[in-house]
Amino acid sequence: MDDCVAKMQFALANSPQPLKEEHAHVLSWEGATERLYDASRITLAEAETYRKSFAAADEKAARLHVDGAQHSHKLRNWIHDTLLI
Amino acid sequence: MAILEEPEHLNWFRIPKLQAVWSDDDKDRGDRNTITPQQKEVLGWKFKFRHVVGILHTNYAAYIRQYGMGTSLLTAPALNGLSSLVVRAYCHRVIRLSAALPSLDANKEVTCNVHGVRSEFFLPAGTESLNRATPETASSTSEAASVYFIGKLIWAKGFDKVLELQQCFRDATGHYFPIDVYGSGNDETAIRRAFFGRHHHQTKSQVSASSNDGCSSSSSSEPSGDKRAKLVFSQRSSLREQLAEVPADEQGHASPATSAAPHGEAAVPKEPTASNTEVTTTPGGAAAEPTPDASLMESSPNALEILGDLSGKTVTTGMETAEAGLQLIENALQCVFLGRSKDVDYDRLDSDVSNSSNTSSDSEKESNAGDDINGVVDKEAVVVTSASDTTANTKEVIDSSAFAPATATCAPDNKSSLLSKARKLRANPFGLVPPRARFKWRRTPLPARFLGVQDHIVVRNIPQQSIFLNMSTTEVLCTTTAEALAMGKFVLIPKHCTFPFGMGFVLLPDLSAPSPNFPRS
Repeated sequence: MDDCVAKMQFALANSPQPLKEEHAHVLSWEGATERLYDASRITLAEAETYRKSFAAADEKAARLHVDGAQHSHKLRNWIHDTLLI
Repeated sequence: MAILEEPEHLNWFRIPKLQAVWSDDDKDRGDRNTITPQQKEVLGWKFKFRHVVGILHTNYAAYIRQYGMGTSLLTAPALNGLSSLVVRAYCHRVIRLSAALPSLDANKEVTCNVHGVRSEFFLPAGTESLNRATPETASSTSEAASVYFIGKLIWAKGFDKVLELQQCFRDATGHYFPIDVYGSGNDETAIRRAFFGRHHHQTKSQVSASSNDGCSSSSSSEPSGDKRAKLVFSQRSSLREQLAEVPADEQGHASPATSAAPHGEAAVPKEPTASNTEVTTTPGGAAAEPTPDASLMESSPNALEILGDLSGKTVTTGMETAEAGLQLIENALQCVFLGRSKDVDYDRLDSDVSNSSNTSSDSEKESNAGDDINGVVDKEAVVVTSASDTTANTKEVIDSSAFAPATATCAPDNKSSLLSKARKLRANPFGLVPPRARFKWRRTPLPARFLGVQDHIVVRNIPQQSIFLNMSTTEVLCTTTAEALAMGKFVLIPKHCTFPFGMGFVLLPDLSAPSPNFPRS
């Protein structure tokens, strides 16, 4: 907290420097979109590794989820039919 | 390619067609070429698009933990499990906006802030903003404080740290720094009380009512809910007799009711003024039947209404105390089973504390009414303190016993601040009381102004307001911090997950340090 007080005193005594171009770009939506591109792309090598190691397990996860959803849908239909709602 | 915003939310519930599309011993999993079109449709996003990116915005587990007993032990981990499952099943790549979000699938995940700031924040001061009225007049601009805060007025936004900072600042320099606070929220009354002290405390509507000339005639004849209760209990006749009076009164005054309508309109704004600090549960509390014989009615207010009001408040108090108690038990269980301290529960408990401290005074009055009528108003002060202190103190105890930094990057207090806190606790007789309860006993009010809800953009045109103080550590993404930076202000924040420059406090702009959220800078 003492550190904070010192920083507050500095801020009260001085005015901030104007924002630099590159920082302004980073903060804007244009910069954000560039970060999105970088974050979402994967290389061909990575895609290949994925296909070999994880894809089977992921598909199993998808099937599990879909089966679960189908079961609960069936259950919901049964409840509606039996209770005549 | 598909981009899913909040992929877990989109994919929790599905209603697929009810036919069997695969058998259990299908051996060709993972190979896109052998999947039939039927299966593709059912299997979802990854099989319809070449590349699917999910962007995680929200920490759902943290929200679900606010819903009481059992949620943090059972529901929140289950929800995280389900989210992990769907994210794994339906996305190739997952981007989480900051480290404050849970890690759902380490293999696919990237942490990156892919949000930006509206372009108008970059324009220089004095530019006309697009479609918002800038309500600042020349006089208010000249009074603007150098430091400001904008955001919801809840304790979770770090107001207790702001109060501590004011104290430390005064210890160092001898005066407080002025601060303007924009926004509104549930804890506004408690926060105002902590800033201004109990005796200087002015609620928003009291300030506006005092400047409102139209309703001055009925201002003195409309006592607050608690004072009306005092009047009821101080009558010589028993309660039963007073209740018997009510139907007679209502019949007798039915005809002047229409002419009383303008009085009613004028009196309504006064009622919220008077009962602003209390939780009103019955709508009957508003506009208690003003008639032309206002002076007569004032001496025997509607007893039935008062009792209804009081019993409603007792029920609310009881409920909120029970809730706070359950929350305490849950925290204790968490410490035992999980050994973690939860920032979210901490904050919810404190909002419970501030609500219960407002309503507990009424239940005390109810029980004391028969004994000591004159002492009712004075007792309120004592009761509120003790209620808020006991629950807040218990919370403090739980917190310190369970304090294991769950994620090192997210712990806001570093060692040196803990040591200085300990020193202060020993020195100050009030030191064991947590800041929220302690500061309302201050004698000198802080030089703060509460300016209501404004868009952040209005600050752009006030160049003197050059420092944004944001002590909040519970947000996923500090958009307001980014906006303040874009406007070229100083920003003073505690270092935490979303701006991980190390420990302590950072005064921005200082984007030279590398950070996962801004990998290029």
